[in-house]
Amino acid sequence: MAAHVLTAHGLDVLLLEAGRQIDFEAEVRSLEWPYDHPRRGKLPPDSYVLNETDYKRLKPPYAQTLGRYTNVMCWQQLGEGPDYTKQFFVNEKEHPYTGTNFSWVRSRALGGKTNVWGRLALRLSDYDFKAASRDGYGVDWPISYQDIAPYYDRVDRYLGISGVTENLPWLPDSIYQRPIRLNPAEVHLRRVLADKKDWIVTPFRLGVTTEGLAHNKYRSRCYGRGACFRRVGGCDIHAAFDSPTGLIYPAWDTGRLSVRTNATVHQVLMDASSGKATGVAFLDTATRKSHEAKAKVVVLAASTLESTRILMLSKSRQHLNGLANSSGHLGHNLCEHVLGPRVHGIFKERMGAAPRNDDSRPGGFYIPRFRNLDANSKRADFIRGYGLEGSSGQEMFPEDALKLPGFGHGYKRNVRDHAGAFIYMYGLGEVLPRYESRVELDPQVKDAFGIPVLRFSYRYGDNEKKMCADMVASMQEAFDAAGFETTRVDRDPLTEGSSVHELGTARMGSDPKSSVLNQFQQTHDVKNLFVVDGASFVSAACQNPTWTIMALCWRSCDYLAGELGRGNL
Amino acid sequence: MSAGAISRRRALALAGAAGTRAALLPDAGLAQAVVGTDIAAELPKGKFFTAHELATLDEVAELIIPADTQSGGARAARCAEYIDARLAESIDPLWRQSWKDDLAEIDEVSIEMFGRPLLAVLPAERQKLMQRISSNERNPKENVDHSFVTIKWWVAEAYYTSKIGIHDELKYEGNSFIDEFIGTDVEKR
Repeated sequence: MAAHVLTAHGLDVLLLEAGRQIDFEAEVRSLEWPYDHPRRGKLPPDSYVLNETDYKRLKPPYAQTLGRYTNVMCWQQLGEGPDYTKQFFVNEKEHPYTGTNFSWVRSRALGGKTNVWGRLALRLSDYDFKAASRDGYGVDWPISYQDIAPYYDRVDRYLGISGVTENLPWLPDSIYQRPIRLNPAEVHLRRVLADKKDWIVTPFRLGVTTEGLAHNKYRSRCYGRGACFRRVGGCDIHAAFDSPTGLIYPAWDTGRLSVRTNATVHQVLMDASSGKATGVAFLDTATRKSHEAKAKVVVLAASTLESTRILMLSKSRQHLNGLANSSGHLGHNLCEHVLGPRVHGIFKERMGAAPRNDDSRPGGFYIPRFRNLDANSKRADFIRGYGLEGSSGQEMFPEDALKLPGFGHGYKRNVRDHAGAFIYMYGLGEVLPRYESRVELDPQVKDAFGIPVLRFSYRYGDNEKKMCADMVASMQEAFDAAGFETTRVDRDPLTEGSSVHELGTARMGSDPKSSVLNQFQQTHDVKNLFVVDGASFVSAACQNPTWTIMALCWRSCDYLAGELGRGNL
Repeated sequence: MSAGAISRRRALALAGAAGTRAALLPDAGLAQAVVGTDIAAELPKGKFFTAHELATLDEVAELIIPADTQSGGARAARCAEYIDARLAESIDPLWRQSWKDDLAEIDEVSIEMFGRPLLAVLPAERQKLMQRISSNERNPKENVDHSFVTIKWWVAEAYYTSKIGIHDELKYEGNSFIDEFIGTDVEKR
């Protein structure tokens, strides 16, 4: 996003990417059938993908006890197709980390995790930006919804988003293209929950263009091919937003963007006399040679924890605790979303019904937050809230095949009858930012390139655990209200980090004594240094963060261009 | 399993051809013909499994997901062949050995029940054997319970990712370009 906005302002930009550029046409096989793959999408035998049991049973660095494998990959949420997405993710052997258990999913490729994201594109509201004023916990963001709303609008129009207008003050609507549709069980659920509980069931608000984008020649509209959740991401027609085709290639076309891949930035270079950044030092991971790049302004967008890591690695005699860390808050206030509680069930009206193309869409349904919004929804046992996500109907692989008991004709018929009746739902809740939730540089362990790694000190607290219990109760209430037969209930949170929504650690704020960045994601300490990714979040809210990261970045880069033009940087 | 147990399984293989059937043999006549011979030498070997093991897995797979009027079963979908290929390239010796142990467990229960290994018992006896080994599926306790759970999981995974499983059996319609999303319009609720 920064490359797009800054080049649009006429600025020359050098983009340094730690990974390589993915050749989507050659490497992403969105429509390949599993039976055309020798391992049905699984990894080759020398590779291993970490699973939830590993993340709980082992201790970081996770690859240390998996010596027989040459490639150990982070959890990719779906177990059905890691061979299709392996090119996007780091090898844990090369990129270890230490400390408390944390499922840290990292992508080193042009576009990073936008190549593989879940596509749920939600706005935050003043229920989130001013949450501290509402419930007394933490600090407010230095912006309000009014400040960022115009930038959400720009992101909507430039990248494309589909959804249905619901007029919820706590989950503002976007400027939508044609929505995806709900399947029969979901329509039933929407009607029942509106009548009985005043909860909303709405189609996924997706960062997917369903009508096309006239201004972008690299992206097609969605053709409802489905099977989108079979492999995380990998939309080879780029209907789903990804940074390369959505932002970087168009910026490239301006002639003002240069891109260097395999360039791992490990230090922000400083001029001690002026106190300004002069550029960055990076390692060419192909040649292992060190280089420097000079710039008038440095913008970090390496992903939440990698940007913070770079600031920590940039410590010097003038910045003993890391660059831009006069507040002492760098690395602290790590937050994210708690994930794990999940309910599966059966919509009996669809049992044994004729097959339908339920899967012809890139997302499912979403139930916006309904807790702690007003006096009626206030909970005594936890603060903040959660949303519920889910899907239903027939998918390519019938998950019930692994759950239904028995064998023989009865089992086979049972799987067939259940295939279109399947419905599931899971919660995604706000994890509170805590000063003690932190990352720091490990004094001993280094990555494959000799760069110190991060050490985590992070655990869910009591608020998250109580929220998870309420998620389960709410989902069961919803299923009971709809008459769905519950077939499985998962109660426990997954390992910390599993939402792949790590946020905070260089938070924004009005007070330089308690924050790293100002409201424009500019470091308080170094005025020509910006951090425009999830590190800037003050709190996680319960909404998926991508759209907010984009909107904040756009706003900050507008400010940056203006300040640069005025000679203030 | 001990070396003695492996030797025992080899003995089972040599003794247990009666009733051995099919996809891994050209026809039932050949199955009858190999009674009393070294079946491991006569039946097609897998890339990983012995001939007896592969035939046993193939039979168990078909008993789990049989052919019917709608679609072929696990045999037609070549589920045993897929599992064999995955094991053949695996670098995890414990996982590889566990599969041999699982198949041996089933034969041992079959011998316990009928005096013969799975491949040598009658169809009705095979059904009884399957009922026995699947009886604790939801709460596996004995080794054979775990063996059944593992084998069924892999057979189901192999079958429902196969061409037969996806298209013939479940008639999945996605993963293709369509002009318009097909679903239920939320506005028409």
